[in-house]
Amino acid sequence: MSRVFKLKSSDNETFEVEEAAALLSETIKSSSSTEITVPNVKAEILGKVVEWCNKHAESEDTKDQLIKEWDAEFVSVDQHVLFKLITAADYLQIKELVDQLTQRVGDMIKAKTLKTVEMTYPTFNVEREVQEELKSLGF
Amino acid sequence: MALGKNCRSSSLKCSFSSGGGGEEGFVRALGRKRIEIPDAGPKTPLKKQRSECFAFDFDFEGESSKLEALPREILIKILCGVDHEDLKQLFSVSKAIREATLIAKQLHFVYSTPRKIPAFRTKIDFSESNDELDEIEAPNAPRLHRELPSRKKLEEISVNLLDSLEEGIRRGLFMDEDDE
Repeated sequence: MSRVFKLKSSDNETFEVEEAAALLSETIKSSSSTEITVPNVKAEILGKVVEWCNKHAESEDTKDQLIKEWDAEFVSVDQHVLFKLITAADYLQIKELVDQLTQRVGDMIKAKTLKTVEMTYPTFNVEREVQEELKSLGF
Repeated sequence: MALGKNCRSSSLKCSFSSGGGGEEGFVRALGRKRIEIPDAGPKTPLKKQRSECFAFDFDFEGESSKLEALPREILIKILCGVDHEDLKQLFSVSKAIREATLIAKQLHFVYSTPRKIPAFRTKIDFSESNDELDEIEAPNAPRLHRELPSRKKLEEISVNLLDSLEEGIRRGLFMDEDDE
């Protein structure tokens, strides 16, 4: 009989997850309780993560083309959702999901479709910083 | 040490106005982060320092996606998947990102090179491509012919970076599982 895990979002919504799906998370795996609260992650995001886990628990062959397509679809979200998903997947230590999400961000950087605040308004002046570093090293 | 002005201060008062922005613009708290929204009105004392404050281009659900806000290991992992050319554009974005970019570059090199990297003073195999050898040296690394006066400072910096690196490696973040 497989256990059922309860994942609670920061806005107090609970998701019930079957063992196979839940154990994709290292955090859950090494937790002594079947009730886990995921801090700083809202239901909208946690729900998506659960969806991913469920999908991956039911399909054993992750190299399957259909799953790959599903995954590609899954990560094609708005970048702010993407970042939140990364935070959640990272906390839950779901390696493959983290891999897929970070791969997506990398792809967006390459495609120049990633627009973050820092990129739009860089605050860092490389040359000046290097000059100062050199100075402090006695050059 | 703040090199440039930026709006990431946590000492701003939080006043929230909904819809259309009030006369003073507003600051919205996200946990501990405060992001300032530009106002159309006259400058307030609070905004004196931030006169060149900017328009945020994001979906204002309240949170902007920031590369820097991600855990360091994750940021490095992301950058590992980005080519050299594209990394360049990130180099001058912010200090944190620059550091992560440098680490990613190093890692890229370490993990994609099958053979061991020879030390500088040992025999160099010239039959291999020399491009990689050029890359061994860290960019902008000063040539030091004497002991560093601020070694301690360097150690502090590198410990910080190495911690992140170690953490990432420990968690297997930089491992390439697929062998095609």
